[in-house]
Amino acid sequence: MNPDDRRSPGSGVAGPAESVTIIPLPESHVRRWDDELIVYDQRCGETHLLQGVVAMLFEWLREGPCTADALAERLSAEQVDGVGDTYTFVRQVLNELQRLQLLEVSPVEDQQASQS
Amino acid sequence: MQAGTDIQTLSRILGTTGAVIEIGPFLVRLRSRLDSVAAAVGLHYEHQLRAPDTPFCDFHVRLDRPGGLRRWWKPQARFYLDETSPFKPLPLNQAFPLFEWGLNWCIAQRGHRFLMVHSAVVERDGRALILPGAPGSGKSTLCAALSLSGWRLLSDEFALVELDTGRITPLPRPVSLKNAAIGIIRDRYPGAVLGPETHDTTKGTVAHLKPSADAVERAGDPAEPAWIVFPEFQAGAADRLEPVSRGQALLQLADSAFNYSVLGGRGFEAGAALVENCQSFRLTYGDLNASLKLLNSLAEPRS
Repeated sequence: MNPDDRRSPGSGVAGPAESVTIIPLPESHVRRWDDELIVYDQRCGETHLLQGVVAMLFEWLREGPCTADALAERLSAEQVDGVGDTYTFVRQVLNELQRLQLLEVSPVEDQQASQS
Repeated sequence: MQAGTDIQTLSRILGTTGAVIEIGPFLVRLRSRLDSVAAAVGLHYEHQLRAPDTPFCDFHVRLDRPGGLRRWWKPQARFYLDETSPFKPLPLNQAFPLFEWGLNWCIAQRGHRFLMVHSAVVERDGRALILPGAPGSGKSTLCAALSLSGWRLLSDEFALVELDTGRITPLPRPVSLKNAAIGIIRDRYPGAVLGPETHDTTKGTVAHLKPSADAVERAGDPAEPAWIVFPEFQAGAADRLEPVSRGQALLQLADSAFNYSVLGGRGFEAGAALVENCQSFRLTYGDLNASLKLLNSLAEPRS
């Protein structure tokens, strides 16, 4: 698949040139229980329950900025059942996290510049 | 009632300075000139009355008849908090249920030193069983039956979760029974003390079960939360207890809480700690005997 094809119009965040991470959250507002992760967003007072692979992706995103492709490759390496095409799955999860305003998106170039 | 206070004395106190009622962590000063209120307070709160000159109270409540034509035509009772009336009046015969419902509102408005979950709570051996539930879920029937068969009543309406310790503070008040539950409890527990039935309320027929002397005497003893059970009454259903994940339990608790959003992050942390310290279940409740057996099995020692 051409990377540019993976970002169709309206597909939302995280094109190949964007990196994403989770907004800063107090540790006490994120709890991990078995395959569940529950997140409290004090900005709006909403509580979100993430389960299974989505919870795993959320935790990877908390480790630091990465691209959607890198996330999908990491997920592919885990050989998780039931997610179908990992690129499509990752993009759906990112779009949902963006809808909940839990993501920070920045150009990859910016991230590289800040690291240099 | 302060030892030896008879109903005439209580009526006089209610009609003048107001009677001070200690309900768990709250002090309520109630003024009323309604005979039915005096009788109900004397019955249900006799052991929770404090000296009328108690200087500080959390809630100043008055329950009286509105003036004007309503004094004679279809008389009504009106609830006042700090001399303002937050609700529409109700028929006069509903004065005591109105007091109980109004008091729920007062506590939900101001009890923010707790995470307050709409829930019945009972305790055995220091461990609390929390039964969150919407009206019609059967929580009050289960709460009444448990409190009459070896469990201590902590509350019929509120799980008061202490924000710092996570313990459950007791709030011993009459258990509000509705419709068929009244006869079920009366028949099953002949020693239960129930007040008069009030008909044609918005909830149907209502009667209140007096809390036990033990529940009132131990109002200062909090309990450690151990189980959260979400009851769901389904007539004719086979009773079963199914585990609920912590995440799902917390979402349901948040939905059932009066002040989860008011407390913000502290509410989340208290709710999260609560589900971490409890086993959570969903109870499908069709038969009282079967459900009591399931709930009692939770508290039995594991071999």
